[in-house]
Amino acid sequence: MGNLTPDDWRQDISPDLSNLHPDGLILGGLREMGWQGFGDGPLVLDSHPADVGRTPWTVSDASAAARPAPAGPALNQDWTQLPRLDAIEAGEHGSGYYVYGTDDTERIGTAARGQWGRPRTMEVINAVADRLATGDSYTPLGIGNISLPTGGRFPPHRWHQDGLGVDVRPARTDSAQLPVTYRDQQYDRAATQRLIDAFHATGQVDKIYFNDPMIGGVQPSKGHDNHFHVQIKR
Amino acid sequence: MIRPISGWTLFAIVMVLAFGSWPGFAAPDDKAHGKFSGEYTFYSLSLGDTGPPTKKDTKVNIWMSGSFAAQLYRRLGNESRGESCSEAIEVREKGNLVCSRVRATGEVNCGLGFDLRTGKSVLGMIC
Repeated sequence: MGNLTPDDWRQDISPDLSNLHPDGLILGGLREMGWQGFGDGPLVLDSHPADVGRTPWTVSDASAAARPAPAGPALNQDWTQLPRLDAIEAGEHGSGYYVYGTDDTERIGTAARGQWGRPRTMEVINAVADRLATGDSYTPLGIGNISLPTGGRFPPHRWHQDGLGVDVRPARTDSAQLPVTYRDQQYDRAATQRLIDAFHATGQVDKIYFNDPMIGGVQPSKGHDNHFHVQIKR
Repeated sequence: MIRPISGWTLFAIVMVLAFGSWPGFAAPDDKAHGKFSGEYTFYSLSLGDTGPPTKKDTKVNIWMSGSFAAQLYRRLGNESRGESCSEAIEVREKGNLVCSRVRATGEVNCGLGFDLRTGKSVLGMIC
């Protein structure tokens, strides 16, 4: 089985109903990347010729065929989608932010699907970007998952349902817009502290979860070596 | 003549009374393989900032919901209360198995992951 490419990662998920099993089970047909569902029907493992070499085993169930097609997402009317800035605004001149996160290709408009939030959340992000832009040192601000446009559960997050939680990447010494953990050589602790301080300076932050013990203004939480979670006050 | 009840008999009676009628511990659930619903995704790096799975780094995150998740939550017990990240939810976790319950609706979801290179479990949910 060959390596999966980023393009593989970004392929849409769509159940292939043509593979309906005589017993009523759908075998295969779900693409590997992204979140794929399985239901309460009998679970079946089987191979699918089209998936050989990339997704040899998939799990699906009969109930998927019986379910009506889901309606389009009901957007939260009072929520705002974080705008995706162009390259210059996103950091080349030391201002703005860039975005990353879940379902980057399933965009609605110009930003990632998982970056919907309350207006106050957007105000905080913009205030942080503005504060960083006026500093002496360039501090890249990478904004990840906030909430889905419909709110609701957002795997793999415990919460991220109220538009008030924001994931942010720690800063890197090379300023690259890439993942980094606080244990990596490329991790920029001083710039990350500036990020944390800028969020607290808004006066709108309830808690920030991050695991670097040398960073102030945060509390540790499992799974927060490579990003920090900012919870905005209600 | 009424014989005194031994300690073990009393213990057994108490256990039956305590757990026998509790749906989550009912015998039928324990004897048969049940069905459950959920979602899964393959990824690399770690939750919160994932990349596409590669030959050298592929993990799977399994997201469980419905009655199965509710049972997991109940069976984890109150003593495994975990960090909730928000007042809106309650969390129970042991190791890398994490379940969250939305206070307002009672909806429970659980997450567990595996590193397919090592077969070992990895964290199932993050804030």
